[in-house]
Amino acid sequence: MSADRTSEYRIAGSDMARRQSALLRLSSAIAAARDEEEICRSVVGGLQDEALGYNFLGVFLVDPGTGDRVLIASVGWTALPIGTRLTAGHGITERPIKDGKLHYSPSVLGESAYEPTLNSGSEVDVPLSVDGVVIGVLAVESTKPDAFDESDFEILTAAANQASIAIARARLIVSQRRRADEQQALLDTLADLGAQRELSKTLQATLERAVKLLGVSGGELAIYDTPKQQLEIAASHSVGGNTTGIRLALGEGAMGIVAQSHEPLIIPDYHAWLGKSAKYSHVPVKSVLAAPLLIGQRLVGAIAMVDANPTRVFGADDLRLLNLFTPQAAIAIEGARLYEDAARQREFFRSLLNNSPVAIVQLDNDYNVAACNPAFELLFGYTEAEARGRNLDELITDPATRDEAMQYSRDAVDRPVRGIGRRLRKDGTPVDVEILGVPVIAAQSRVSLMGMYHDISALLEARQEAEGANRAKSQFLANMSHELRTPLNAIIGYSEMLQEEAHDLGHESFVPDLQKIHTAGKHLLALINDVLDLSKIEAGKMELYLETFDVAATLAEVRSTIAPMVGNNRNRLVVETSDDIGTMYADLVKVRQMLLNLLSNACKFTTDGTVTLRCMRRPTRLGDDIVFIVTDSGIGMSDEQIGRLFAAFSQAESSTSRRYGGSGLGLAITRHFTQMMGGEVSVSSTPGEGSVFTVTIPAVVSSATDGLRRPAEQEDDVARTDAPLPQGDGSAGTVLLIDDDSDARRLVRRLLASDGFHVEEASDGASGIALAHTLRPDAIMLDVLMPGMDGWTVLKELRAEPSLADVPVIMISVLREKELGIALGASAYVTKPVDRTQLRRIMERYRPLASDGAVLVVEDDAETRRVLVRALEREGFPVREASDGREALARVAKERPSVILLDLMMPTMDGLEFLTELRRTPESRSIPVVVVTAKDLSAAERQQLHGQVADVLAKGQYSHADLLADLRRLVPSAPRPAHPVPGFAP
Amino acid sequence: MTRILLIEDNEMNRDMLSRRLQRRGYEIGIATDGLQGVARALEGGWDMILMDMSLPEIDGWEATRRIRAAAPEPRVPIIALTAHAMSGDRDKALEAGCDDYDTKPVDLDRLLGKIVALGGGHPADTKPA
Repeated sequence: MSADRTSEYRIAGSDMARRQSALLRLSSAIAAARDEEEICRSVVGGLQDEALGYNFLGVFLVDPGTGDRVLIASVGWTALPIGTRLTAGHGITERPIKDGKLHYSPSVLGESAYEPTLNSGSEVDVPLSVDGVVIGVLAVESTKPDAFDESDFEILTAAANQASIAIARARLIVSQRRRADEQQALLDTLADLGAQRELSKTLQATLERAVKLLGVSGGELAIYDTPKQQLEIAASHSVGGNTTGIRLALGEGAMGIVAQSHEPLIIPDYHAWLGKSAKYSHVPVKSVLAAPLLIGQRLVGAIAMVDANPTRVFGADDLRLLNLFTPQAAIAIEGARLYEDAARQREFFRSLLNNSPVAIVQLDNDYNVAACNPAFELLFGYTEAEARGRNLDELITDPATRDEAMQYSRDAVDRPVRGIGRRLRKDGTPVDVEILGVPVIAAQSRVSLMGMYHDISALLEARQEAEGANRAKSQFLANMSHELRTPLNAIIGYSEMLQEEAHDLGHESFVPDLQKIHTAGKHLLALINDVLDLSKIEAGKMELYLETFDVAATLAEVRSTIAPMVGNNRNRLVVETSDDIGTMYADLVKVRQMLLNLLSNACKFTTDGTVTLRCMRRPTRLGDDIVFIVTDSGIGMSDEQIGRLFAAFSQAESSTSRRYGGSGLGLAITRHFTQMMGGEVSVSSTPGEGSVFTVTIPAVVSSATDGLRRPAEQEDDVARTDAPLPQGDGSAGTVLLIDDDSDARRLVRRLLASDGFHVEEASDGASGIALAHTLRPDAIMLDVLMPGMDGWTVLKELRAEPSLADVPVIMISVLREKELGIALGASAYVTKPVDRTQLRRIMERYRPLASDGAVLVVEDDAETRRVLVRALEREGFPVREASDGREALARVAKERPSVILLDLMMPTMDGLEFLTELRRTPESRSIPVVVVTAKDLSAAERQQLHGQVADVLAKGQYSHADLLADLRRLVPSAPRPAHPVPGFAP
Repeated sequence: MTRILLIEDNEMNRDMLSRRLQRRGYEIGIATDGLQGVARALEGGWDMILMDMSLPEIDGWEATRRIRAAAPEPRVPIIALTAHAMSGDRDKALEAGCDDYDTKPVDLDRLLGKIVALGGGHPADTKPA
């Protein structure tokens, strides 16, 4: 026993030494190990000692994803390859994992969990644990049963602890390194995105970094083609051939599935997977991890990681790593798409701009040219380089149009503006353009202005030509009137005469044929008269000839004239007149023509019926009306026919003219005539029952009309052409009236004079412009349709004249061309007939500031000033004084003088500066200025004064009379001389 | 017999009007332009002058003015004939010294009415047998 014990002790001592040396080996190997696997290998390698019975050793580490034990290192287990997985419920090695304790199996054959291996002896299983968590198992087996004792347990536990600590440390290092790698990969990817490299390169680099970080063999990245609903492989790395360009439908393959589900997907064995795509049949892939690339909920692509090694099973950590890249890849794709969209849009606009026939210019916030298109260069003759940085409104205007152009620019700051104007080319030639100005707003603030110019010279020219042609046509027709009627005279006259002669000579059989010639001639004459009447109306040449006539007598005359027509269709004509009908003051010829028109229509469209003409006097607020009512029992008209009734050249149906004859112009003419006389015509009708036409005309038609709707104050002015012209006192200002129609002039003059305007008249454009120069009126009223120079031309000339450009021009016309008028520079547009209230409202705007009629003397020399002031006061002028320009401006701002006498050489602010300031303000712009100077003016100074001042008087050379004449001319309300005063020369 | 001077340049109008007036018993003298018209008017012996207004040499208004100026007494009635039915024509004619005005084409009955109104006798009274 003792020998045994000694031997045991020896053995024990020797065993102890062997154990110690195994532990030492193990420790030093672990210290040298670089990773988990080496640590595990060091454990098994270090512990192996046949003498101790440590025949077979293995280390399993737990896969945190599955809970499987994975064999990392082993000695002697030839049947179990490295990487073998033991799932839960299998093997003895599971026990320590469950309870974290060492388990000893003296005889493995008796264990229920035993699975046949090489070993059939005893086994110790020691847990590897870190911070109380079991991470693996150290399994040590002996071929002998019950080969281990407590001292083995101690040494193995110590080994397991050492290994656990080493593994924990290794893992920490790995995770730190990995985190560093991840951060680096992320930084690289962000750097790629920031560098705005070509999308395919960015994606390829991103993919490769993902492949590297996940430690897989390859990967793919696809972009989603939204319109085609397909994925297209944009980057590919080591998947067994270049797969770039392959297209996958939604739901096709791993990426197709994730693109559809928006969820990641792990596939352990791709080729065994039912969802595999045939496009990858040649690729040696096993494990696949795919994820969608999303911007919010919107799919932009998909990414896949693949590994050819079946043991590479993807888990949660892989997904976490991949998710480091998916947002970056998605952003790269989206960014590239946005960039491409923006580039495409830029290209679109650039091409639009460059090919636009409209000149387009972009201005900065200071109205300087920032860019312009080729059409602009072509239209105005400036290259973009020449125009850039220049103020647009100075570049393409002249002094006459600059203010207007600047107004457009200012208005365009907050809203689109459009109009018509004249601009200047680089070579100084003018061009008529349609102008459109729009603010360019970005993110609620104005970034620039866009100006567009459309050359309308050709259009305006065409319009003028058309208007000219139209006037020529009217003139031609008027001339033709005589030529057409002369041969008709012969036809009608001779046929009538021959009827008489045939009758006298007994050739009765000729009479009916001659009668036909006669009737046809008269019919043709009536048609020609209608056409000529209408053309005269349209040319504005139809005039009223007003006279007093007996209404009943006129009706009797009309009745006898129409009698033959009444009989034609076996109609009966009834004429009813009230007893008080009396006389009317109107155009007899036209009243008769209207009645004949209405009656002949009634007779034409009625058969075997009754045509009634009733006439009555009807009192109104503005005096009596005479009402003519023509009623028939004829075919009547539908509402639609009535709608077209009064339009020229439109009978109720085109077939009507063939059936019933006539020009179809009668009603149009009738309506024009009634309107000219301030009346109206109305109609009511029922198809099949007949029609009622009612013509209402003032019993006393006003002469100053052209369709004027009889203002009450007109009635005493009827046709009294010899009455003295009314004149206002000028307190409201001076108005120049340019109109060829004396009646229209008289009417407007009455309206204006009663409101205190001093009115001067011109009957044509040229004399109007001349008068405007000398008169410097506060406003000009301008007719459009005038013979010779028309109103548009006059307006343009007025606007082109610097000294008159500021005078407001009110267009007054029968034409409804307000837009054109305003565009050409008119201040207001009034359509005839003139509405008194409207006119008054408009004129109110142009009434100069309240003026006391004072003369402001601006002169620095006190003595000269005193002499001038005394002389003026003696003539009855109220006088104010100022000793230099600045003081004068202050006085003007306070009280508007009627005229300013201005010295040029003064301290502080001289006369020229004063003028510039004075003309800058709209309120003071129209104050006439007479320069009184001792200075010998240079040509340049004269040029500067030209158009700005009414007269220049040289001190010591002008007479008292010259000055007074100027003042009286310039101040309508100037006191008239009560006595002749000897000349004075200050 | 009532003697009427017809001043008219248009041959057809002249022929027609003169024949129709002759048929009604008037004795008709003819002039074919303004100057000739003035000359013949001043020959004297006319009861009435029918004056076309658009005449060669001098127009009807001028011719009328000259006749009125050269022979104020006895004042022979002048009726202006014009193709224009313009309101101003009537005023112009009366202003030039005409006594009445009618438009062409001539409505013979209307014209006869005006002739009679100006003392040109009633055609029935003068109609030859």
